[in-house]
Amino acid sequence: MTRVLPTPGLPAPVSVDRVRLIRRSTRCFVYGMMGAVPLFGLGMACLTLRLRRELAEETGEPVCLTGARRCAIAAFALAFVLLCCHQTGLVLALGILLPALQGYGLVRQYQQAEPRLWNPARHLVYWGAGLAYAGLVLSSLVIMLNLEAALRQIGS
Amino acid sequence: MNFLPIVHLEMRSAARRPTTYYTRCLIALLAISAGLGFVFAGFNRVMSTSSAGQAVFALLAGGGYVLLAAQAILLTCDCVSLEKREGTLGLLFLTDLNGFDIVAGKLAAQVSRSLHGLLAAFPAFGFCIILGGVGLGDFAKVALGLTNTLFYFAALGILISACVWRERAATAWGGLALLVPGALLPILCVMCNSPAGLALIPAGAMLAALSPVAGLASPPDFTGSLLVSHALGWLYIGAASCLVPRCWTRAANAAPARPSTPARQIKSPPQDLPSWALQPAKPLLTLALMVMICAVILAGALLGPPWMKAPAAPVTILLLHSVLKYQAAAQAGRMLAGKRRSGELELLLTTPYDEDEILRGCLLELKRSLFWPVLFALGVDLGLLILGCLRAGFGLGLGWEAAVVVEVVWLLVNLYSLTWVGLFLGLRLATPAKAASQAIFYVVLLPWVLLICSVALATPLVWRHRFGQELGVPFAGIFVFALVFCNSFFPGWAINELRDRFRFLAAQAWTRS
Repeated sequence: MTRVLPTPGLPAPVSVDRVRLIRRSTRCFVYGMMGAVPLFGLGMACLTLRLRRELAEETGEPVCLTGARRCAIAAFALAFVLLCCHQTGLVLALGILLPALQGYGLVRQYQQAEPRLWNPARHLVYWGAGLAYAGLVLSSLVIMLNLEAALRQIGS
Repeated sequence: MNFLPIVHLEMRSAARRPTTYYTRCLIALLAISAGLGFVFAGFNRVMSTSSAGQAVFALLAGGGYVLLAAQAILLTCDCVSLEKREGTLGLLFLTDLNGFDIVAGKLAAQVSRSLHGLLAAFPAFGFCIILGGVGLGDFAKVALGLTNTLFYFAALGILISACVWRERAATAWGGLALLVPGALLPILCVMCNSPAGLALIPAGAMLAALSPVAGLASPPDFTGSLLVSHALGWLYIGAASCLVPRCWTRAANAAPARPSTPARQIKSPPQDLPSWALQPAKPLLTLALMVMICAVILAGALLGPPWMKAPAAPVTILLLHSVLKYQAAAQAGRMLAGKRRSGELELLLTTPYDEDEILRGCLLELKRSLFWPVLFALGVDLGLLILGCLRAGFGLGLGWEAAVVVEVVWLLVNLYSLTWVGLFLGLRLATPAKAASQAIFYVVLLPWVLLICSVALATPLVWRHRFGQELGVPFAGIFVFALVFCNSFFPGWAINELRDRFRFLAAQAWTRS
């Protein structure tokens, strides 16, 4: 009887339901599309990002969210300061710049990260996440602009 | 042996649960938020301070009455019957416990959280006294009336639970008990100008307590109503205590009375969906309830005092829709939980059916059971819409038409969300009643909670500014946003969890039980 020894250096095989993985990735994309709608898609955007994190955990893909989070927090703080100074144009520019930066970060992550398990629908997960990020940024912008308008009205 | 040992046990266990404290904080926060909104409105001279005080007093008392009655009935109507079905009630009678000990213990366990919430909300009523228009006596009467409401409906729920066996019957009778003595009977008594009828229900004491604020023509006697309804509550508890030791032994006979569905499934394997999904549903009770609501409100509008005529149409629509939402949440909450308890789900999971097919079957069964009630409600909505248009003219009644259409769309979206969230929470939580109440909270009540909190947060910002239309638009926007968020996030979460972790959820519950 021949015994097959595991090849050293390769990760141990993990059984994953590939169909389920593809379905979840597709769902991530669909949720992301719905999450791209500013304000009304906020719930779906949150769900997309949650699903993406779970999929990354399942496939053993490293997700570096720290940089993106720091960038987003800094951008929102800057946007708030600009709004308080009534610089609406700069806030809008920031609103365009931030999704572009996040999109670039996602593309780089898609190219560089190596998941432990092959996911044929991995690109859909990234598309979904990108759309959800865009939706989140747009929602935040709409909320901030409305808040600024309301504060201005109260001030006057 | 201690006096009421199960009450001791349940109180200690409630004191250790974090949710007891969270719920209390949430209820206090809500009451304070609602109170603050009116305080600022009063001091900003949007309303006179006394009318602001009376408005917030009536709002808190009315909201408290509805929430307490619903929570008390929902939590208690299946507590003893659950023990009977699981066969654990008989074990309690092997000890020195008697029927009253068990009933009192169950009552204390289910009511303690609501009672704590009520106590936490009382300081918010103090705002009304600060604003004026409400005295200390009114406050004391409302406090007593609310406590009595909680006790009465919890006792009624316990009695229902002691009488019935099946979960579905318990929920249905609970809903009926909430609607008839809670809403329809007070409307009928007010309509017929019958203070004697109002004395039998806790709504009579509440109406009497609120009569200086609401300006009722002939309010019932507060003390008499309070005492009679309180005595009725004790009567229900006494009846339940007598029934409990006598009916637990029927469990062995009652269980096989209903033919088990898995057996039928194995004998006749279905082609596409599980066979229970293809069985005809029986929505007769819901339909009867809805017809009764329409009849009572129609009679009130035609025969009652003039103030009942104007809100008859919106109240009919809102009550019918509330019944449907409650039914959707309750049925979805007990759907998978009931199948799991009977072992049917375990059998289904060993067949070639996958999770999607089982969920499809559940949804089909829910659709079948809700189809005719929804159709009836939509028919009534359409009838009232046309009547409103004919009365005001098609152009003039545009606001009414828009409101009805929005309400119908909201109902359909809520039914979809409640179905998914109820199915998921039914698998996740211990009892279907908890699943139904949490689903209703997440989908139906949370947008209102967010609106109240945002109004309370915004009021300091607009201090010394008149509330105008320019502030109404942002609040409407916040409410719509909260509504969309709650109706997209929670169903999406439930769909994700059910599709991805169905077997895990089912197995986890089996391990726990």
